[in-house]
Amino acid sequence: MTGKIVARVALVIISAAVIQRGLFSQVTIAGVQGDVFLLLALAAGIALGPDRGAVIGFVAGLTYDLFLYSPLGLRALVFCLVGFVAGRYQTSVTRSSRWRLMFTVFVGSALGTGALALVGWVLGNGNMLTDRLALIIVVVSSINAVLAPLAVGALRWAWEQPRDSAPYGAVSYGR
Amino acid sequence: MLLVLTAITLLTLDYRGFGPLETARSSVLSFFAPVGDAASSVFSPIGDTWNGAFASGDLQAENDELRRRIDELEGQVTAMEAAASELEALQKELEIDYTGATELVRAEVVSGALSNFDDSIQINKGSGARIAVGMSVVAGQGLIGSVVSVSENRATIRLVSDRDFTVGVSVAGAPGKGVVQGQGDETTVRASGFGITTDLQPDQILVTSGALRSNFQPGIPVGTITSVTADDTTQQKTADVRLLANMNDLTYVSVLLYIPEDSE
Repeated sequence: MTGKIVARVALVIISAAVIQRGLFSQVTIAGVQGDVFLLLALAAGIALGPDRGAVIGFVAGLTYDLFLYSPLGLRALVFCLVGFVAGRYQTSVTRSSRWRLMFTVFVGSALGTGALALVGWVLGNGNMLTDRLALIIVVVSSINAVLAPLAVGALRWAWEQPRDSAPYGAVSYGR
Repeated sequence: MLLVLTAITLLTLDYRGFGPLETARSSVLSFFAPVGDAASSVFSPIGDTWNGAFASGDLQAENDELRRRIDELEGQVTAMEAAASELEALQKELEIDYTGATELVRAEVVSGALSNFDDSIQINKGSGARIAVGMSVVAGQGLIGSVVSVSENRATIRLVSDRDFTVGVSVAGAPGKGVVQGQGDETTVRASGFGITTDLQPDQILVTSGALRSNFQPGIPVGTITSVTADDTTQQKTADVRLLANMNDLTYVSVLLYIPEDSE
């Protein structure tokens, strides 16, 4: 992993922070905002494989944790696992398309948000398992599904994956 | 596996209040503050357009409701003025000073919650203005929350509506102490822990009790009781409380620079 890749990935994560803080805090659906960091974790796993997905998910989650007063490490833990699982699932996909990518991110976001709520509740955060959780899951998953191609493209660019190296799905992990 | 263990380690250290982690958080908040503000400014036209397009129906309904409320409130002006005078007199009589000589720091709200799982706001003042973790925050008629994290020029406020927010309260002008806890609702909280013999009645005002080692200055109005429930099994009373502060319109807030006497 070169310094250039590190810098590009950092730029992508910082951009995600800017979007989360500047855009999603203002543009909400039924009072629910998107979760760009979760999207990054999923996109990293899908585009770059389970190991890199875990690393980027960890870094993205930790970055998000630093902005919040919830337990530091909560999102780092959950998003790390989300990125890894997404990458593992993607290795089993032989034929893919943009729509399959969006569906994968939708399901992954739903499971990731649910896992975050469950782990957070276990750790004592009373705001996690509430009657709004279903709405949060649906909205976050929908937003992430729409933005999935963009996120995957950004991470491919950051890791210098050639655009035509593979269609969504059968990703080469040789670098 | 290494990453998972690292995350668990961070969680453990955070729970134990490991100082460098708080410093890291504070540094990130300080560093990112101007970037976040710039981003908000850049994206605000999008936010305004979005809210204007999709919330216009809500706005019309809110407008109609506000007109109805104006008519209703105009008829209650005299009664409200009398009630305010009575409260002030009561506070003076019981030596309950809302803010009294406590220094205030007024700040502007620059951001709402940054995640879907917390009820918080960010203000544009921080440790540079002597704001510290645990300080009470008020707006308008009463308490809205407390400071949970602070950097040089930013502070995060956990709102009263947060389900993890708790504060000791007492009934203004009457004995009995309880605890108020957020319910995830911007207008209502729940008070519990009052003894079965406590005289709780609707329309009574609850204020912060300032119990030993509490960071909350005593006497800050929290809300008015709307209903009371008595449980003979636990020998306790609980009450639904309507917040006095308007949580839907937090633009400017005040932080009470209050430090409990036994912590000095």
